[in-house]
Amino acid sequence: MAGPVRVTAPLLDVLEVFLQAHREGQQLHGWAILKATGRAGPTIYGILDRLEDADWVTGQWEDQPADANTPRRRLYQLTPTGAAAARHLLVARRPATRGRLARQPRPGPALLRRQPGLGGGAP
Amino acid sequence: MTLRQLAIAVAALVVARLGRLTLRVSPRLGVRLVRWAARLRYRQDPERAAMRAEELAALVDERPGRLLKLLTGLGFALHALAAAGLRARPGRMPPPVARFIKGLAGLLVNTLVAVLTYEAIHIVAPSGRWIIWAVVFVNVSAFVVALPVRRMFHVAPRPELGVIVGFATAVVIARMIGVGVGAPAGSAAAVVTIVVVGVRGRRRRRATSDLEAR
Repeated sequence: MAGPVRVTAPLLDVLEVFLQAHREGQQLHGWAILKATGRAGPTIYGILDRLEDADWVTGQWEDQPADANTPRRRLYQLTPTGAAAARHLLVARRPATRGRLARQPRPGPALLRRQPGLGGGAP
Repeated sequence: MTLRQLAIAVAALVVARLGRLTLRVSPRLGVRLVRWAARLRYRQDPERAAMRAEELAALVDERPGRLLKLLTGLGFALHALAAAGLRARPGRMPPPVARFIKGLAGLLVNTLVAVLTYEAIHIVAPSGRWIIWAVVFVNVSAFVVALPVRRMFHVAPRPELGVIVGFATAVVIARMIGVGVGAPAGSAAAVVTIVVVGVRGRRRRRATSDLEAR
């Protein structure tokens, strides 16, 4: 299994957010990840590059917005491989994550988009 | 109203006008900056560059507030520039280009230091013991400006040191006789110095290569 080259604190933050969204069957876009992690944009997109290259995350374009001039957002979700690896990594590096994930409130609908075909229950 | 007060009032008006204009165009500017940053960041991967360009434009679009949109664009642009700079390490560039870039960066920083030093001296000693401060300024200027200029044009130290000391002395003398000089004069003098030193360095290199050819 290919993995992100470097494990850093921002990477773990992003994985936590992705795991939370994965548990709830939701897809994340860049702005949602930025807000949830509080990290800088270039940092987040650098991590997304690494995660996509490692096949931990896949992205797809959202449907064309009503206003054709509005640029489309790209929505990301963990792959099954990525989810397992992220869980493993977080448990190893941040033992408190499991409990925190269970306690975290669900992100608001403005930030996240429900992923079609997933019920939103625990994986 | 004195001329100085009038100048400050005009400058304030210009700054306010520029500020409003910047705010008005900042969303578009932010989008342009992130698109450019994506192209720069992913030069080796055009497909990802196009993808990120649209995605980042959407990100800027979502940011609340005009200023934040611009700041987002600036952040991505600066990051892409830094990444591009790291990729293009001097070792990979032709040595003259690398030397010129390093020299130019040093010159910009050092010119700023020289000008600030000059302004600080003027504040500390507006009159009176100016000779001591003038000597300090000339020496500081010569030191901080001569080094990067030497690196840029790869010429021997003595001639351009003379030019630098000359221009610094001229600035001090102008100050002494009451001509209003400051940052603009320092910057202009730095530009003149670059041109003079560059022309002299090129002539010297040509002369050297002619001699070697013979």
